[in-house]
Amino acid sequence: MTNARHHERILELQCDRALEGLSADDSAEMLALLQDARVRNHDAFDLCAAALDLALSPACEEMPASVRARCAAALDAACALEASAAPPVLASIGPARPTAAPRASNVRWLGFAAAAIALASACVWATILWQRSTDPRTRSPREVAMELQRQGVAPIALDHTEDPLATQASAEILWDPTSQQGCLLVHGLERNDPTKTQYQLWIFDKTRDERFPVDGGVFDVADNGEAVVPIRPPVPVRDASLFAVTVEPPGGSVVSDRRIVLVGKRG
Amino acid sequence: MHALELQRPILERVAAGEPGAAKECLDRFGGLVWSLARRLCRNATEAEDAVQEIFVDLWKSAPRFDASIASETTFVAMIARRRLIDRTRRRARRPVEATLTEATPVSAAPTDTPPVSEEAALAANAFEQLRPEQKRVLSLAIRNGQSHEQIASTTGLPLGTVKTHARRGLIKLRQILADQGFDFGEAHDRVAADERSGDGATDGTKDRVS
Repeated sequence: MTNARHHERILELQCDRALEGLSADDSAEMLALLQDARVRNHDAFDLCAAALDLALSPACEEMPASVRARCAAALDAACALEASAAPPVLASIGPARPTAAPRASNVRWLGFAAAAIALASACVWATILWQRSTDPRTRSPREVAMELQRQGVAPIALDHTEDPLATQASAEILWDPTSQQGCLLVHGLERNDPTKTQYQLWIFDKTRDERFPVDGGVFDVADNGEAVVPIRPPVPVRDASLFAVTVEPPGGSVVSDRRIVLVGKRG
Repeated sequence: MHALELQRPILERVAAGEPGAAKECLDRFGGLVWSLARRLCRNATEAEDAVQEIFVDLWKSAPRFDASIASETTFVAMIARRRLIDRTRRRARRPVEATLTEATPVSAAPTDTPPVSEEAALAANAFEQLRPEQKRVLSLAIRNGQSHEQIASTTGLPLGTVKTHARRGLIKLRQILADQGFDFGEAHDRVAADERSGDGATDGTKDRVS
């Protein structure tokens, strides 16, 4: 292909991408051509189309509060996921819950915070388990939890997002990768109507595509805002890095809409 | 330039990991992204999913933002459009909303709606300098999110002609913007050469891909 034909083809592909996207083959071709042509900025036509879109678009609608809350939760989860993948940097103690601001500077608090939360959670965990020990409905998860505690499995703290259902909520998870079982203990989460929605736990496995977390089970929250949930994932979880609780239709989802109410990383 | 953009750009602060910057970005651009998604998605549920993906994308893409190339608003719109186009391609259907007909006038923007960035204002002006057929095809592609095939079906034009109008229109638009100081980081000398070699094509005979 001549240089002129190269250039013409690059323009075609850049215009097509800006207007209707490219197939995988066309994307690969464009990247190769751009590399050959030493084009540094690949975005010129996309920016041009974006500017025209802004010019042609009607006035902005206001984003609904519920959508904003979902986006904020997604940013929290993305931040926590990145933090879980970043090397630990123990320099200072920061805020006690994840914020949307990403990157290494916000990862620093996680080590110390996790240790403090683990200690506090162990006390809370033991107290609540003792209180629940006479309730036959919680026997199975309690037994699992007690067994895990006896084995020295440390609780993992989950923090609430900005979702209105979770403003007072917190949770701990005991997870044993060897036996592939665990238990989730929830406090202060809004009661759900099981005919309309249920809560669902998701486990993000570092060895899997982060877009497809493992289903950790569906559960309901009672009037007192508490739930004790056994965790028995349907597939092996090789390296759990993050746990999240979402709101789903009754019976749960295979692919979540990710309305996240609780999220926490495994130290 | 927008007064707010004289401050340190939010995206730079997001990229630097400044606490609260990501949610400030959500507050500032939520309406813009939501409007784009509502226009280009089939329903509100799909728009909600798309907006969530876009803001995570934006968070990841923030380090690529360069204030010397484009405004934050245009950059955000670009990221949002890419995600929306990807989603549309994935579901193998195109959103068809308020399809323009022959009788529908193509205007740059509603008269009571001020452009949201300087580039958008210039783009509106540049758009008016395009040929009518280029304006029509670009409007259907950008404002209505139609594919080239859908535009061909809507307008009755051959597919190759639609592609030619779309490409030459966008190239011309970029050239006009570049002439006014917005080249989005890329020299436009070759574009000018291309334009001299055949801006007036009105059918698909010059279009290899057609």
